[in-house]
Amino acid sequence: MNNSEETSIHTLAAEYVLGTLDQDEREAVEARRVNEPLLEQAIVGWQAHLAGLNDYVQDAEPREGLFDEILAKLDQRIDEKVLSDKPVNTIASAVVVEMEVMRIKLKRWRFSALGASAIAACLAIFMVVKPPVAPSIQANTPFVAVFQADDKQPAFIMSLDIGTRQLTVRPVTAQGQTAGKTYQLWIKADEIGPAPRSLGLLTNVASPIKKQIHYDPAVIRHATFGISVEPAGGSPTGVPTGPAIHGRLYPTSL
Amino acid sequence: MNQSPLSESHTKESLVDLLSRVAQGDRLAFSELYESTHRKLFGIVYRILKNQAVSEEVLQEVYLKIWEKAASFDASVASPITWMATIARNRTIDEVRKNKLPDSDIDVDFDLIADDSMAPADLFTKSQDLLKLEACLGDLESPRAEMIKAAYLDGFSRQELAERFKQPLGTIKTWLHRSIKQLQGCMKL
Repeated sequence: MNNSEETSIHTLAAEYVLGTLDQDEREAVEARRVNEPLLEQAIVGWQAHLAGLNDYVQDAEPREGLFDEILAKLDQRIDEKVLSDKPVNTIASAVVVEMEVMRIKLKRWRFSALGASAIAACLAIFMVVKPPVAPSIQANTPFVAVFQADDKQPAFIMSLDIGTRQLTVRPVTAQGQTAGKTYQLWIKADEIGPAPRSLGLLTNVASPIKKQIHYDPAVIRHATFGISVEPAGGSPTGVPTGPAIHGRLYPTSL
Repeated sequence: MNQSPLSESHTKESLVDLLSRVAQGDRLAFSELYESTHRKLFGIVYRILKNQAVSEEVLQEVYLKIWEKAASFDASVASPITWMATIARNRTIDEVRKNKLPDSDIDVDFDLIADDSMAPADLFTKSQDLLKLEACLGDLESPRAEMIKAAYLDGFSRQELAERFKQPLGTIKTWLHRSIKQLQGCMKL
């Protein structure tokens, strides 16, 4: 990169942080920073270096009770999410203990006949990404996500090693798809774009499947993951076409 | 002046701890975080929007975003208050750029806004970086330091800066670009 390119990146980053860009320009920067590490780095640098100016701002007091309204909105969002994830998930606050309870139940369910078509019809996904406890220990905290079929029977469990960015998908009650169909794994995050991106096919569900993913760990932690039923060979359109279940990651240590 | 008690009651470390607990879904920690930072963040939002009701709506969204994004906070990249202030400023700037806001509650007093005598009292965040920034701003040709502050603190668009400093838009763009380049060199960014 030559000097003029570097200067223009810094100018853009600084104007973005100052706030002098108009809305179209701001949106363009927000789209670019995801894929341009130098721009991202310049933005973070200017944010840090200009942040001291906030000391010039006089404190101000919002109306009393505003925090209760924030909590109410938080509850509302969680409710909406639960409603949109059919069937209703009861482990939204998944903690390790609940995970263990589920594993015990899984053993019981493992032999219950749940045909692929049943899974396809009522997959509901559920994943919660939990952030690392502290930055210093985030690197190796394992994350787990549960993909549930109806009646709270997990179809898949997925674990993530955030250090190596390796996903392991373990089929639980999920069974092999009929001929001509396959499972496909997806990731969706604001930082990646509006549409889910494929993480590859889950063709053989008889054993755990490992997937190496290349997105930033911070993106992975916040992402929603999905497993859909697709024609053999994968979605013909590049986005999920069949029934899907969704989930997010939880850390296994709290 | 009413400044936040960050320096007295909450160290940087304790804010880091609160954020990591918020990232776990700890509402008590979220409440403590709000209690110790909301005056500062509301000050930032209100100074730009200059409207109490709109600022309160924006502040709600800012804290919901902090709740959602707490997991991505990285103490090695930014201080917790800088990280939260960035969320507040981004959301607020988006608001002013997107919408025509209701009339301000107050008449804007430009003299007050650019008044350097309104010195920072929050020593907690008055870091070496700020001291250096002030020195570098001081090297800029007048009134460019005031322009930078008006942009950052008041959320002025280039057009508003042109009106404020009674200059053509093109001149403001040139001032901005040259000031940025000079600051970049001065602070060795």
